[in-house]
Amino acid sequence: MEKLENMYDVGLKPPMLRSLIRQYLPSGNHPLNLNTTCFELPKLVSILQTHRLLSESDSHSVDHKLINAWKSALDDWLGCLLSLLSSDMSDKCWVGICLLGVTCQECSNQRFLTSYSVWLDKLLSHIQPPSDSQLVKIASCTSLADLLTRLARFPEVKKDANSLAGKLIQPVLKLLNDDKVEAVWEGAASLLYALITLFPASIHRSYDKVEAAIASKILSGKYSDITLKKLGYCLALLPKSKGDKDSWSLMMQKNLISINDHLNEAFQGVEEEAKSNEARRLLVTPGKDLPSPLGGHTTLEGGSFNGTSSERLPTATISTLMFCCCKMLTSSYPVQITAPVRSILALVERLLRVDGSLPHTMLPFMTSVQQELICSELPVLHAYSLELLIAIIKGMRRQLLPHSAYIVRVITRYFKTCALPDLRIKLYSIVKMLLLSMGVGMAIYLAPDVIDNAFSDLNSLGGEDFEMSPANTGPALPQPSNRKRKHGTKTGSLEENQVGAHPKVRESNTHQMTPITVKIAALDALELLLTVGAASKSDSWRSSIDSLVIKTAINSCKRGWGNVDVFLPHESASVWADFQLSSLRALLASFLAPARVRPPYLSQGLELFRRGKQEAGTKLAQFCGYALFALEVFIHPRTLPLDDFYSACHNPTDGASNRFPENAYFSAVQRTEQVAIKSHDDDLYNKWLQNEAENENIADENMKDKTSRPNDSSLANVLEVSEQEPTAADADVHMRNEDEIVVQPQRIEEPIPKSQEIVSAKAVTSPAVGTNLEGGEIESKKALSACDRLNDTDHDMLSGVDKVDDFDTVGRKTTSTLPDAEKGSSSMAHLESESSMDSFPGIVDADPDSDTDSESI
Amino acid sequence: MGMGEKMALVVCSDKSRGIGITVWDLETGQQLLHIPTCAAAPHGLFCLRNHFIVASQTNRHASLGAGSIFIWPLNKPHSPLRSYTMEAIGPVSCTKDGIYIAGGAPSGNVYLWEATNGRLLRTWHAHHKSFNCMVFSDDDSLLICGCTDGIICVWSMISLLDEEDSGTSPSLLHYSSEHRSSITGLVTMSAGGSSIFVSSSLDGSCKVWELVSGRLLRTLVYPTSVSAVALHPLEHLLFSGSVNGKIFVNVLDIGAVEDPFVTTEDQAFVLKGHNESITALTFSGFHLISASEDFTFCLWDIINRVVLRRFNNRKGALTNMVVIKQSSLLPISNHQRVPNQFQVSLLQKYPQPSNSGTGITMFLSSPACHNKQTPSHFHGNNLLDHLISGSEKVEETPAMLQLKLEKNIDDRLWVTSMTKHVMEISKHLQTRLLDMMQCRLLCNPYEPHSSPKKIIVQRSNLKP
Repeated sequence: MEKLENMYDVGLKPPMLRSLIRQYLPSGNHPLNLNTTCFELPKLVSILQTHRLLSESDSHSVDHKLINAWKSALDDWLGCLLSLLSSDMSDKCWVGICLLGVTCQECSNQRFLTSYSVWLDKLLSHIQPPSDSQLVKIASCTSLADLLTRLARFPEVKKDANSLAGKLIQPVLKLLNDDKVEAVWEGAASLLYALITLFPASIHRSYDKVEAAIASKILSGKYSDITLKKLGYCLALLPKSKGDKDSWSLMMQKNLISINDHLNEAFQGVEEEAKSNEARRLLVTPGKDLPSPLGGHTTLEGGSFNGTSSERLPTATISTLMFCCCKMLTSSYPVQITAPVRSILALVERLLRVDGSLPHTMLPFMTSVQQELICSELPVLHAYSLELLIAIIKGMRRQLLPHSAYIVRVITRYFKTCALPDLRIKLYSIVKMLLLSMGVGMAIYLAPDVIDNAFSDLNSLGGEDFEMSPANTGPALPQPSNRKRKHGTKTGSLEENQVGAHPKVRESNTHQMTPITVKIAALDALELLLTVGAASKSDSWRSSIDSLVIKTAINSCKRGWGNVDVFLPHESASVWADFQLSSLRALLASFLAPARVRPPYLSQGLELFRRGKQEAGTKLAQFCGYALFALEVFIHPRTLPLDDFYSACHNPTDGASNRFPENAYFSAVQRTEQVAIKSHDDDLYNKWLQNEAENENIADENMKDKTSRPNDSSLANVLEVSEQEPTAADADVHMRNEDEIVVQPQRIEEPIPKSQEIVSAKAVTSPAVGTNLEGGEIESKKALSACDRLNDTDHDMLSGVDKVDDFDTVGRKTTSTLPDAEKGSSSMAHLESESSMDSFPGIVDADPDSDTDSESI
Repeated sequence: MGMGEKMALVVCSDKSRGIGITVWDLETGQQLLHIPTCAAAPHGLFCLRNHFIVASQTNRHASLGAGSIFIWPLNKPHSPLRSYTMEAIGPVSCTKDGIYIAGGAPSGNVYLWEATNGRLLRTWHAHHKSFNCMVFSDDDSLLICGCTDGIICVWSMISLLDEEDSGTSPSLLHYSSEHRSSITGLVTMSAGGSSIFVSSSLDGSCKVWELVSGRLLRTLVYPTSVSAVALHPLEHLLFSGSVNGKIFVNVLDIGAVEDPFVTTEDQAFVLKGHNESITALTFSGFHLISASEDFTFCLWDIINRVVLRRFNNRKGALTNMVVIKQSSLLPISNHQRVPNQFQVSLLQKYPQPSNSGTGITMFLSSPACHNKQTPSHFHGNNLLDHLISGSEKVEETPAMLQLKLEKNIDDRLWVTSMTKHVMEISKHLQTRLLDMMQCRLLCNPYEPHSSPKKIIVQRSNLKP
């Protein structure tokens, strides 16, 4: 035998398959060791799948010998499987069926098409009466589903496939109706699901029977959640097999009526009579007949139901039916349908209104046991009604607009009373959906409630508050992380343990605390509110939200980063990581959301992001990297030329033609901020060169002022101030420009070389000038935010004078040549603008040359 | 142009119905389609969901005091839906998703329809003057209306459509009267967090507003009245067409500046190509299209500021332009009948009492729905995984127990059958042995050789 090249060699595959057959497949009537089989089968399947041993084709080789070898190996494999299938030992049969399912998925198209009908018959025989092993039935159901899924991919055999699928319906229904074991129903439901989705035409004829079979199971309500959900899903998809408008509506109506009837029973005593009547009225259009009840059952097995109602509520049935409604609303449907939104919403509201308290009129009729019973089941029902609400929002999207005010009312009312974590999380997610789909208009309505609730959730005692004293959050903040970095991981975790021990004591005292998951949901909702609705009338709440978000972020990060092992008594570390992520996301949103002031906590936030970025390999680090990337534009705005619009526009004006290439060069070399200034001041310089009396150019310059402003926030502040001057008329704009122009010649003799020095000095961090500049900038910003113009100008005058002195002293050290003039003047203006000298001319007056001259002399 | 797709321009006039609607190929300048008899008021034409052209008709029933809105399916343009309204409708607009249609009447009433079922959701008396233009905000949650007296009103769609207080007049979000003359154009920006819109007016200014709070952010002052406004697709340039045929170009920035700002007739910022008042501006890809009362409309290269193509509409001036995709003009047969084609119904004339039983006509076909064809718990590769994972964790899966039980029963059956078999064999062997002994005793030389063989054969049969 020739040698194999490596593990990719195709020649490897046929022998590999043969040895697998020998090794794993039970042969003859040798008994099966079940325990080993269970563990070996997945291994077998994974080998089959990774090496694609059943595919019988390889793109690289066309060697006939090889192909034949493979083919015969596969024939052996199938022969083995089929002999297993026909074995009368149920376990062997089971193994065979399972592996046949795998084969259906893995084998080549050709082989599948030639033998699918044989396989289908073999499998079918195992779900029909003579077979009695439950497990074989289940396995056959799933393998049949696999087979059908593959079969649906071949449109050319559609007709044949449909008729074959039709053969399956009766046996499946028989399984559902006659079998006694729940696991078999689950399998049957899976198969039914495959039939409905893949071969809807095959269901068409026995539509009513299928509906009845499923409905009877759901209405009995006795089975596990998973089985009921699967059945509910099948019921939801059933109308697809007919695919017309009416069958969908009918199914929905039947569902709703059934839910309603069950609720009437369940809520007897905790709800006013009028409510149930009203719900009923919404469901049935007056002139029309009542549709036949779900599944064709004449009465709702009313007798038995009443009898048991004192012991248990039909929660399982109601929730399954609601789940079915959800699925109907969210899965696609071939034609346009009419959804009874109003009655669904009424149902939701009705459920959410019942909180287990007894209305006064009902007091004498209810026992505490009954009330207890209802209260125990209510959270589930509430959860499902919220799910239904989510499904409506998902399904209807913007068409829900006429009802959105109603939904907002329901949501806000429920938000006030809802205290269970799971329900609150759902509420927050509904809020998010509404915000996202309805935009800023929705934000106006929801903002107050979201903020109130988020505040109470995020401020309440919870996971992050078990650091010893919450008072020392500020200064003590950097310490834990520092210590942790110094210590090895082991001591670190020990520390965590110790710290973790304390809260337990504390927590046991605090009876009410918000779980981290709720906090995550609240943060996510806040994030979305900031992104969607920050532009709305947010002035009232914006600052408080910003501070809440930064506080939460700092809190979330002060206990360590990423995968710290032991944290909380109840929450896992991964939840904590999610919390950190959510808080940082909200923080980024609060930085980026439009506002009229610079984000006040930017420096702290940047610190957090930089720190988080170091946690390599975590989602957190990835996000922090992204956050820094997103904030980059914010911190160092870049001025890109506006398409080619400007260069084109300015070609005719002389002197300015080669400005943009130059800028491009600078932007590559220097900090973008400076470039912004430069381009701004190049204009001034050009103007100075030109005749300043040209009126058109002034307007031109103004245009350019505007262009550079949004790109540089600090500069924007300056210009903002300057344009907020009380006398801000057109004339003044002209005035200002002229002033500037007048100023330039005064300066150009001396300060130009100096100021160039300053630019370089600033870049190389000259302490004196640098700090002074920064200080001036920050101070002036404060003054600005105080909105006191008088103070503002006063202050600016002072700082401006300081600065001029400073750069004069620095500037004295250098000499320079005239070609630097342009740069010099520009950086000068940079300084001036950074210090917010809006009263520019005034300062020039107060800063005569004689002053500096005397110093130099 | 727009993503490599060929675009077409739909134009119509407001004066004479004879001009009708014409669809032009923007690249070749050919007429693709002509729909006779249509005259829409300014801002009275739009394209609904890329498949329908909707136009309010100006003077059809002027004498009767009733108006009409026509809807042409683009791929079947000869059978329009003719909806008749209570009053003549001037400007019309639809939400981006094409679900709601708003129309304003000269009396100051506003009508709001749902496009799919034609239901008249709401009418209300919004203002005492006629409306010039109405647009929806970019997220469709607010409706902005501009009036002839310079008033701009902003309404929240949620409160407008609130079914429960439809009796009272809906609450206005805010309104402003900064403009001193008729509003000629409104454009909204799609900037993510900040919602902003721009209004242009005959008083010679454009104003930039914050949408929700109604704060005036900036004012752009022009030497002449502004008759049309458009925003570059990248939203950094504002194009304002004036009554003397010039188009001013401004860089739009959204700084918090409340300073009137003069735009003069600088060469660099004016597109000159028309002699008469600009009536409409729109964009196709990055090319500006301008229509004027001088009976022409131009396709501009805004970077080089030249007219790429000038179209001449000999019959009259155009007031409305809409850019559509050429592919939507293809007749249905070529389209292969998309199953989820949105339907559009006749717009109702009168509001109907909200019938709670009917509900909302809708589609359950979104990409979000499609990708969930097979939920994970239904698509398990095989039962194997399910069972195995169950047995690995706790061996308590009911199915697993069932399997084991069955296995035990099977084993027992097998064992009993085996024992029976073995007993039979041993019986057989015993008889054989007896036979052999007999043979020995009888001393037949041939017999002993053959009998052991048989036994061996039988034994090998025994072995499974």
